Amino acid sequence: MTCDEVQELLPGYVLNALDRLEADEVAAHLVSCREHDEDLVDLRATGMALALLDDAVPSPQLRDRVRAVPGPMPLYAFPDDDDMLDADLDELDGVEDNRHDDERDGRDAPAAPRRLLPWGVDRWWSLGAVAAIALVMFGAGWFAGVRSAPEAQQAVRYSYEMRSPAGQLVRFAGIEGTDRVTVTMDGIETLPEGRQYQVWAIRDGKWISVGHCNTNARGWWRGDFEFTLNRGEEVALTVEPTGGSPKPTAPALLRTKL
Amino acid sequence: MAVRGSGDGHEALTHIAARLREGDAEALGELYDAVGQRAFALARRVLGDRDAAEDAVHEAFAQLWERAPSLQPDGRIDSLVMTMVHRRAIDAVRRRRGARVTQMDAGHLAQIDAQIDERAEAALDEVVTAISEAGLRARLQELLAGLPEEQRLVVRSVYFESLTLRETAERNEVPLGTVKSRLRLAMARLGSALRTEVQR
Repeated sequence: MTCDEVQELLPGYVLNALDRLEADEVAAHLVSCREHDEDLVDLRATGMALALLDDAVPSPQLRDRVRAVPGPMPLYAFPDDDDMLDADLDELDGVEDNRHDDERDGRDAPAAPRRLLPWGVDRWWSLGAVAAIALVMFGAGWFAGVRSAPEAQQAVRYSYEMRSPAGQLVRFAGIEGTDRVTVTMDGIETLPEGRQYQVWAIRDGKWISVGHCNTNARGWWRGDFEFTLNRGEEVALTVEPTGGSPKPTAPALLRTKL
Repeated sequence: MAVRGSGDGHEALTHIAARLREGDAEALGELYDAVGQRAFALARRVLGDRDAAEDAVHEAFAQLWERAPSLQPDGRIDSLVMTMVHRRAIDAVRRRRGARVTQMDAGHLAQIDAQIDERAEAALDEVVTAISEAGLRARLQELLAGLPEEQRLVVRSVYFESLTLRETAERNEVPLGTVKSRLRLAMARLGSALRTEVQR
């Protein structure tokens, strides 16, 4: 596609009004030609200005969804009886340990202790929720399959998520074949002192520790683990004593296949 | 686009941003009330369907909350929201396009988009600073009304009804090339008029 042809299509491209093939051809041209930058800026600015005249109204549910974004939600119910959450962990044998934490910015929780759910009141409800999460838990992983930079011709980025029905998520992102995975946890309750979340990969039936961490007061954590995740493997999240365990000591709160 | 020229609105948003940095969950809802409709309109225009647009807005607000502790005190929170929503919407469009785009250097294209967005935001901020948001809205209505009927029709179909150029051509029974030209002329006219507002 020539510059003149692109120029003619640029408004349609910016307003997302081109056919797919044309849009892709324009995009391909723009990657290698910066002659159109000024026009793109003008068109984008004009398009954004026109948004002022657009009276499209989102559904009331969107407001609820946005308002539900903050605040960690309980993912784990702390048992106060030995017989609670008495999971059968016999299957968890042959565990390898591969612990390596690199917590970059997840330990910025304010000093004030965060109050957990009143377990005494909501205990049974919470246990039900945990069971539901464990049983109904699903994952939404996908491979973006895009190259990230010109110099990384073969690099394929991946991004997988496992989510609870309530929307709490653990995301795994990295570059295929490398030994580093960035893990993001969102909306997941901060664990009290002495406990940490531990992320596992399940490889040929063996549970291998990816790393362990805790969320901050906002229920958020992000950090890198030195670990190679492979497509088709299972990942899981458990609560373990601080420092992690060589093998899981509690049932998986989340578990999904990548 | 920052809400400038309407001092109370700008101050209110600055206050919301400060509360977000401190982890005030209510502030996120208030921010949505302030800019959610505009963000949704932007996403819907890019994506062409309501559900995907709402997802883009939701994702942007979730990402904003995640990044709240590192928000710049002097940053324009509404601009940031609009940029984040726009990028999420563009990402979603690219995912839909599938294989052909992934063969390209999508990362490079995303970088270019980010630069263009930033400059476009700055350009629009200049206009809003010069004539206020309400003034810009009035001026745009005036400019749209002043466009030749056939150009106005194309802008309305493409922008406000999310039709493609081909659909616009078919609906109005005019050649596709004519629709492309009309949109180009209309957008050039609108863009030129907005630049003039800054220079006045």
